[in-house]
Amino acid sequence: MSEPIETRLKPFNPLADKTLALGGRPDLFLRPEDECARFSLRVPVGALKKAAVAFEGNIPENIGEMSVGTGKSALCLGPDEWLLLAPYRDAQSIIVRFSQLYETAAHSLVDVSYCTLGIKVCGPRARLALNSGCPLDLENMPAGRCTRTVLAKAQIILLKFDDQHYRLEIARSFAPYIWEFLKNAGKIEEH
Amino acid sequence: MNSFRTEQGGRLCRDRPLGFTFEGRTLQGFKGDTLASALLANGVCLVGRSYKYHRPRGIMSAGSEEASALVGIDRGEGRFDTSTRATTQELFEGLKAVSQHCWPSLRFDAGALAGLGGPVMSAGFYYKTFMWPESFWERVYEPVLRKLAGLGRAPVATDPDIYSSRYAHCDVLVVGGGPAGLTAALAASEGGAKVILADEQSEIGGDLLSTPEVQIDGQPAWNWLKSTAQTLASRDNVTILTRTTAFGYYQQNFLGLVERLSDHLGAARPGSPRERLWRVRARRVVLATGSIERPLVFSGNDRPGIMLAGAAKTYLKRYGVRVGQRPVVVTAHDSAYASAFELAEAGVEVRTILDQRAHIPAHLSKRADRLGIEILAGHTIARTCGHLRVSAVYAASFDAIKGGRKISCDCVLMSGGWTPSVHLFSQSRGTLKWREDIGAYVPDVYTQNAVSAGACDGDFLLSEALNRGAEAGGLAAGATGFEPGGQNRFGVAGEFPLSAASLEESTHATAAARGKAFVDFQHDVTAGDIEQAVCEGFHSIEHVKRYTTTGMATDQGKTSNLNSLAIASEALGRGAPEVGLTTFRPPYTPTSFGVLAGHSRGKLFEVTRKSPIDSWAEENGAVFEPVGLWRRARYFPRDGEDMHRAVSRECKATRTSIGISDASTLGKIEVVGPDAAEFLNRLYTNTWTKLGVGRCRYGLMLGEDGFIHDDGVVGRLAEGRFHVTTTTGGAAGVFAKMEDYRQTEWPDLDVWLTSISEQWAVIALNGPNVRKLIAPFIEGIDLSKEAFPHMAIREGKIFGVPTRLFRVSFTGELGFEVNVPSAYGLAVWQRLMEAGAEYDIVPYGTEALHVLRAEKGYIIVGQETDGTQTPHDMGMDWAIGRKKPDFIGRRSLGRPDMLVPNRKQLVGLLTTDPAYVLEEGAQVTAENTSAVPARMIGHVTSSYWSETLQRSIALAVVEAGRKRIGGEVYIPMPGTVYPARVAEPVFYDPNGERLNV
Amino acid sequence: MLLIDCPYCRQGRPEIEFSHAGEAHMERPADPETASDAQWEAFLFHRTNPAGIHFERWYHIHGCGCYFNAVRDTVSEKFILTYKAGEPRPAVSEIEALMVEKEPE
Ligand SMILES: [Zn+2]
Repeated sequence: MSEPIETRLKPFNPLADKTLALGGRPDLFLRPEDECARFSLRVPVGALKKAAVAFEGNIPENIGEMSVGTGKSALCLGPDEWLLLAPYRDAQSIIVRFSQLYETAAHSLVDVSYCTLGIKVCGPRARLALNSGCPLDLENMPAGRCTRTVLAKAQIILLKFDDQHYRLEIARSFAPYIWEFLKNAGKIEEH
Repeated sequence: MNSFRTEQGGRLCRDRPLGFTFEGRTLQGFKGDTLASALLANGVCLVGRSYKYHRPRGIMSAGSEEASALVGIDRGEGRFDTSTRATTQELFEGLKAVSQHCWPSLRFDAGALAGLGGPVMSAGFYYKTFMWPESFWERVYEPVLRKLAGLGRAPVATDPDIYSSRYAHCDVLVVGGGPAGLTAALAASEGGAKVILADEQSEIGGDLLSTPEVQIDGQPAWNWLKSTAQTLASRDNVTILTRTTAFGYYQQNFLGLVERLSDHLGAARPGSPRERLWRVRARRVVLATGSIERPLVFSGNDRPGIMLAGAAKTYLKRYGVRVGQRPVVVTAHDSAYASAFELAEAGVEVRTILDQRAHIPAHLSKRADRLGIEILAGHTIARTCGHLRVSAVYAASFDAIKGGRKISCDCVLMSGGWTPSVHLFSQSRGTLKWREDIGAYVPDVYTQNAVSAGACDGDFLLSEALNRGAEAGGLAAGATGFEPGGQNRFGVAGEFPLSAASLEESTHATAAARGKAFVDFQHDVTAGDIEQAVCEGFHSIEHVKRYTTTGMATDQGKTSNLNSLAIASEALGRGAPEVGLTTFRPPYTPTSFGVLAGHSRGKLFEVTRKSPIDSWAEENGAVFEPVGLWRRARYFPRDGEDMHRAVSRECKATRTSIGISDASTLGKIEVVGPDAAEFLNRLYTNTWTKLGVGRCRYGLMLGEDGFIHDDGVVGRLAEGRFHVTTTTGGAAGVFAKMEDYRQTEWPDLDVWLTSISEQWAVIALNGPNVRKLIAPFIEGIDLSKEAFPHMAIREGKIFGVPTRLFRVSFTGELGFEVNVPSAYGLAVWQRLMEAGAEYDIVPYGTEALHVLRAEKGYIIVGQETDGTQTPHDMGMDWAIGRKKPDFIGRRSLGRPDMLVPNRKQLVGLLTTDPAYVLEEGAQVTAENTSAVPARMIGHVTSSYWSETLQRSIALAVVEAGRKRIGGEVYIPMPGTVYPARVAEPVFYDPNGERLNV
Repeated sequence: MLLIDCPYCRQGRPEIEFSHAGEAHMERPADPETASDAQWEAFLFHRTNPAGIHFERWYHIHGCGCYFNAVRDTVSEKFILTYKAGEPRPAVSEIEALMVEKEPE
């Protein structure tokens, strides 16, 4: 896990060392996603192209679209709201480039790297576990889309890579609850 | 083998005998039985006592409409289910059933003998009887009623079962797996639409399970059923849910279904769920919910052995049970003849059919003749005899209802016709229309994308149901973009033809009925009760329902609603459609709380948000308290300290050296953009444009009503970047409000908001030694008093971790709030604790925090304020930027009521007895009296023991409080009145000398 | 649970993603200080609460984060249309036409 902060202090992750594999294949597999830098970007659509240049990555224009690169990802969550994910090593240069952009195009880039934790949810029973608490029609949600929504009693950001592979972004203080929820749902649905 | 069980037939596994007990008696049935069919097969007729009158009751139906045969099912510790319908409970090995409402025993019941069921308990008895004298309620009524009344007894132990819950989406949801539902599902799914077929019974088939004698498309009904079930099961796009009740139909085709997974087996396997809640969103819904037979209303129609005629046929055909040896049939509808004939052909001695109608269809009388059954047209039952089982009836014509001919029997089969099950349709907000020809309501105008087919739509014939179902399924497929199925017509042979009865004929008896003619069997409501309610002036059917409680039991009046309506309508002299039906509400059948709770129990009952430093607090013995969804450390007791002593120690350490506290739960919002300062100007009472970069200010936020809504410190990180903090509990609301104004009131401002509450862990360090503690670990920040004054913010590093360091204080001591990325909060805290050892650093919780801030007179929004306080009331005029043209709430501050001189104002209270700590919430009076009533002039908002001041302190809001400073007020408490001096609300270091060091 | 057609997300979204935000078109006086007591009172307290067509505000709090307006029939609970904040109040004729169109087939 690469961290941007040069310190001997150990970062704390409430999900650290957790994994869950239920069933043979496994049918449901949960794992914390690798840590990364995250930014909340708020920018008028008119300046989106410039923002993409500053990000050095694609930024999709429509709500629910996401662009997933090898290192950097951009999720469009609202009409002028994006969540940018990047390796820690790129964080500082992203901050610098956007602060330069601010001179010509007003926007807001806020470091939210530690606001949320990512959970990888995959396997043939992934959708069922998620639908135990998420009211969206996940089966008909196209692959490669993302959305902010609700899972049980928590807000989440949901990324669908394919029918058996999802990623959740959850506020840190809700993450242990969501982990427990998915574990519980996954176990119940084994039967 | 007894004479009740047939030698063959039915859908039983006769090679799978099952032992069970009823009231401690060991009995035997077969796999495929319900508890009811197994009891009947054993000749058990008396199942329970009725709710109000404790009358003996038996089994009246064969389905979920059952209102009489309610039992307790004991599956072991915590698994006792009350008021379970014996007619839907599948038999399993070892099933233990007990009857309800009987005390001391089923056969000998005190309630019935005591005559409690006398005229006292007529309509409205709750309203009339228990009004006086008041003391009687506790001493007499309640203890007696507790013993005698109630719908069964509730389990005491925790429910050991687990419950599943899921959202599901489909193109077509078919509710009901009878003939119409089956063909609907076939037609809907053939083209690939995603179909869910739900049926409440143990297997699909509905009425077909009771009519093996008919042929469909040239096959015996059960063969057709088998191949249809196979076809549906083979389709990947079809989900068949048996033992699944659609209990609620909500907006936009959203339905709640409960799938019962283990009740038919006894207990669930360990780890597997007992029930599953399906929350289904369907693009189209096909309602194929069937119909329910109506009882007839005659005197003594509730004796054990009296049941619905259709049920008797179901017991015979599906369960291989003859419900009696010598039945009398009483009917207002053709369908009862089918039951009579089938029973006669099965060797039962059916002697007489009483038909309330004057004219009998010829084909019926002919067949009755052939079977040697006498028909008495225009006749009904005047009364019945028999104690624990019906033994005879008096058959009479309507004009000679008092007399009649006695006919002995061991059971009575009755039919008042069939009522379409429009419950779900009605819940969907569809409107009903009256059909005179069937004497019932059927669906009329749909408000959702649904269609009804079969008996629930008034089409009672099997052929109609099959064809209409297919049509409905095909339409649903088409509407969702799929090809409808090919087969629209089904050939039926051997079907029993039906001519209908009117509702009037079916309830004809009631006008003449005297004695106890029951309408609502579960709530013990009689025809007389309904007539009496009308007589007493209840003319709306909704009022009649509530006054008599008809239709309000757990069966929701499935068998009684139309009869109540008919009787009320007759008493009112208005037609049934004019009187109307009462509203149908979910759930269709009783639904367990467990399945509704689903996953939300135990540690998943509620989210407990924990700060990044929570684990340290837990390891170090903190006592926690909930603050919103968060839990926060309240105090850290050492070696057996109570809260008082721990808090005193924490306060003292903070005032004399260093206290450390976790403030991570504070709400935080980053406000960015060229117009950020202007935006904050409009949101907060304070002025922000002149706040220098690197400085902080206390911000006060009002509602448009001028009352204090939230507060917090705001730091300016850059020209267009602010770090705003909110209260812990107010975080979400403040963010929503800010977004609201940003998006809808001032969309022209270039400013954006981002919640950063969880980005930063916040460690509050307070006390005279704090600067010395952190100095060695800080990089890039000059901590000197001059370079980093009180109310300033700097960015740098602590222990190598980036920090936003605030110099602020909520205690009145030199204070720093260390913001670090939340992943590092715990590690930084631990380092600070280690380094702080030489200063005897002490962690403090919210309780000490409250004391320390109260000593300084700092308010807590929500404690000193309750949504009716202005800044002026709180003595916070200094926070108002007077020169600003506008901010939220400014205009309201000029409203006349905000300017009156006797508004409640924040003051300090010092009790005359310094050792006495006032109760928070205690009322304040101006007079030294405990006389009642006294005029209250305010209340205590905060009250603590101050270790620093060695006395109690309190904050209060008191009318014109500031004028009273120096004067005395009184706090009346039980038995005594506490005098207190009104003081300035700042008790400690009023000039703030300790802050600016 | 209702499905709500957020004008930004443009698909029926489950109700639990939203929170209700009061009546729509309650115009905050441009300069509150010059508003009379009566005008300010009306802005603060007066709401229509009709049985029938109602203009209201919703917040897609667990979605795109936008406030928007909706026309809803408070009797049937049905949403008739939604539109972005700042857009004018739709005409009655338009609403009525949509109500007919939205009847189930
Ligand atoms: Zn939206």
